[in-house]
Amino acid sequence: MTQESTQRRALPRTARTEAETRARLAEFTADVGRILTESDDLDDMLRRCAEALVVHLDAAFGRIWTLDETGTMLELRASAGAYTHLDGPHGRVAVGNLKIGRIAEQRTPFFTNDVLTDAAISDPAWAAREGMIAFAGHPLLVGDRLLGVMAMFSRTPIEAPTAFALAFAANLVALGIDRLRTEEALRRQAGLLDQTHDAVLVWDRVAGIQYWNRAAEELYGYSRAEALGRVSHELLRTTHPGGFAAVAAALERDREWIGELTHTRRDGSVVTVESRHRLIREKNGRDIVLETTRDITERKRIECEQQILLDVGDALNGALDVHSTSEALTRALVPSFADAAGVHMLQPDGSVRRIFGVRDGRQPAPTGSELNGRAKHGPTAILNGGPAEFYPDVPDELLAAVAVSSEHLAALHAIGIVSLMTLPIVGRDSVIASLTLQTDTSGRRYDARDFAFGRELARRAALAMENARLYDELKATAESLALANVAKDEFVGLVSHELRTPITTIYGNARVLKQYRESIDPEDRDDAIADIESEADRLQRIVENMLILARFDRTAAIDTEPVDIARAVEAAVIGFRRRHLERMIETEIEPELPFADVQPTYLDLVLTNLLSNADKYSPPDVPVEVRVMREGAEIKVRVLDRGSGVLPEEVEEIFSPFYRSTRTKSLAGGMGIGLAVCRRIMEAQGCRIWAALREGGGTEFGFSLPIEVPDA
Amino acid sequence: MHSGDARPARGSGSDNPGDAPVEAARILVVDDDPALARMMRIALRANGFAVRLAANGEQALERIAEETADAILLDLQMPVMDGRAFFRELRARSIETPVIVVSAFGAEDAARELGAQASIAKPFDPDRLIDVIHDVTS
Repeated sequence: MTQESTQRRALPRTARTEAETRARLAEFTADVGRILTESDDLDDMLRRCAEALVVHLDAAFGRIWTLDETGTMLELRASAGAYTHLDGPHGRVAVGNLKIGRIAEQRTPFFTNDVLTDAAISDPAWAAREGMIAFAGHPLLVGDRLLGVMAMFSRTPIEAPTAFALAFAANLVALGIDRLRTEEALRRQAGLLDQTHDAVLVWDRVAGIQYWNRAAEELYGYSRAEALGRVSHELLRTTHPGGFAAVAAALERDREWIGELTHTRRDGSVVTVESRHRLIREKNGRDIVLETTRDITERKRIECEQQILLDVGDALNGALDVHSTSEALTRALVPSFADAAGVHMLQPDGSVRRIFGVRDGRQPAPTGSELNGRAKHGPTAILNGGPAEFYPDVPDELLAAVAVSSEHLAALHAIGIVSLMTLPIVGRDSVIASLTLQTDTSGRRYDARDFAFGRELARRAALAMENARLYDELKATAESLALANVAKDEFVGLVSHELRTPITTIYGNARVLKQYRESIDPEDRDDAIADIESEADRLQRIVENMLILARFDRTAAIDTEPVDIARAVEAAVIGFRRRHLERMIETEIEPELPFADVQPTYLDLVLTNLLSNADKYSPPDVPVEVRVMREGAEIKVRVLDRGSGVLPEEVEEIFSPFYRSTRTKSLAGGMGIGLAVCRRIMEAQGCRIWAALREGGGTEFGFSLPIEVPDA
Repeated sequence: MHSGDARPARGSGSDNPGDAPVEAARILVVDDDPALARMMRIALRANGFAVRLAANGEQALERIAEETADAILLDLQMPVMDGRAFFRELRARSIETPVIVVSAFGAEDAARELGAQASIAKPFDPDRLIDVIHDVTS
């Protein structure tokens, strides 16, 4: 041991009475006991104990070593009296080396009052020089565990009571080291628990929360000091699925419960946690619960949003129009995202239609001025192009602005609306509808992210509604195309028939005449020649009609000229008779009719078409009548038959191209273009044409022509 | 019942045009277009057939009731009773005279649908008409 001069010198030995000695030793053990209970720092405790050796036991110096973690090396932790340094040859002593190392190795105290001659003392010269007489060293043991060594040198002999007190003190110091080391380990472990992201709390039913880590502080907003001693489920307003009783029963049965809970933070926000409760039964029979919770609010929210989007997607996929899309949407959103959802749509008549989904089948909120056309808030404002509205908290002023009466305001208050948002559902060109989402009984408060989610929902609804609209349009187009296709097929059939029949006749007759020129019956030959002529004429008229029909699809104006109507009608009738020898036609023309403004070729075509029509649908033995007369500033031409007549619902349709009455279709062939041509021609000249049921049966077709006014 | 005793028409028309031989095949032409019907009559008579005309299905049934035919040339679109109705009525009366559908549009399809023996589409060459009649009556 290195020599060192110290300022403190042991007091010169003085004789003490036994009573004095006993009192000193009692004071020593009391002091050590106090140090051990007071000190919560190992080095502080050991230093004070070493000092107690000097003060109370007359040690020249006292030292305490502790065993390091490897269990092979003693480290000098405290030194008091003549030497206070902690380094030097005795700073680190291997177990088994020197006198201190041997005490540790043998786990046996060593004691001598004759250090100068004792073989165990490694440096007797130093002892002699320093006047050392006695040495006592004790292993510090707790049970079998070696914790260190405590030793002292004394310039006076160590008597038995002192040695005994020293042994007792060594046991106390060993316990003290053990306690502080355990506490330190616990502190370190607690420190580690503070590093975890999971909130860790320990509570029991009697004393409330016993432990609260830093993650718990961060998650819930309560400091450790605020949390300790509180009843955890009261502090956190825990909602357990199936109630706390179910959790308690599971803990009793399985000693463990794992599940999802919601807790309320200090700031009032709600957090969803995945929680693990572990029941630990302590030796004293008391049950404590170790609860670890992990914040899964975000995860739950994403899951929930994904689920809503899936539900909404499913609902919207099945919807085929704006109305059913709206119904599906509101159904899918209540109650998963809103306690009440509504879609408002502007109707063609300017009114607003609303469609709801309301939680638990309640009645929807009564409507107020928000559906008023001039409303500044709500669906109508949005349908008129206003921006999306979002109220995380619904201000009284808003309700007051919407309410139409005090009763209405009271009704709105009674609903207890928490949050509200109204979003435009914007189609390709314009706002299609508005989506209103409301929370009330659930207590849910929408945040900015919910608002963004609401916008996403509105966007998807818009796509679905737009698709529904396109689908409707497509369906209508497909239907009209299908109809057009049927009409086209019919038309092709009619054209084929109407054109091919005269062609067949002309061609066939020409072939027969050429082949059997001289041998056929003269009557047949005359028929063949006449038919070639009349069928060529018929073909020409059909082509003319079709050309007119096509031409008047594109252009309207026709040049007119003054025409003597009486002569024109007579000429047309004569021409028709020539081709229909068996048809009786009676004409009644008012004498001295003025000229009319009309295009003469077309007038002839119209008359021929009307005559042809009358001929087809009238009995062969009843004459067709043609009447021409002046009525005011017009000349009216009527073609009258005794056919099956015309139904009131047919009087317009009968003039449509390719229209053929189902009633009379079987009576005669034809394409249904003759009357259509008549109307096109007459209307292009600014003239009226009509069909009417004739008194006494049959049909009246007529048209009016403006009387020509000579230029002044 | 009539097809069995059908007598094949002969191409003797050029020698004896107006006066069909006693054994000439009898053809009923059913068409509402008088000019076309006349043309077919002229062509058939020139080829030695005996021809009668009917302007619709009803008239045709009357003609058949008066005298059987060896073949019927049948238009489809006709007033009063159209070609299809006539054909069904004819067969309903167990009259199995061969029928040739003559139409400007879908003649072949209609013939197949009805079960008629042949079809001929307008416009047609009279010689073709004669050939088809020979086919169904031989």
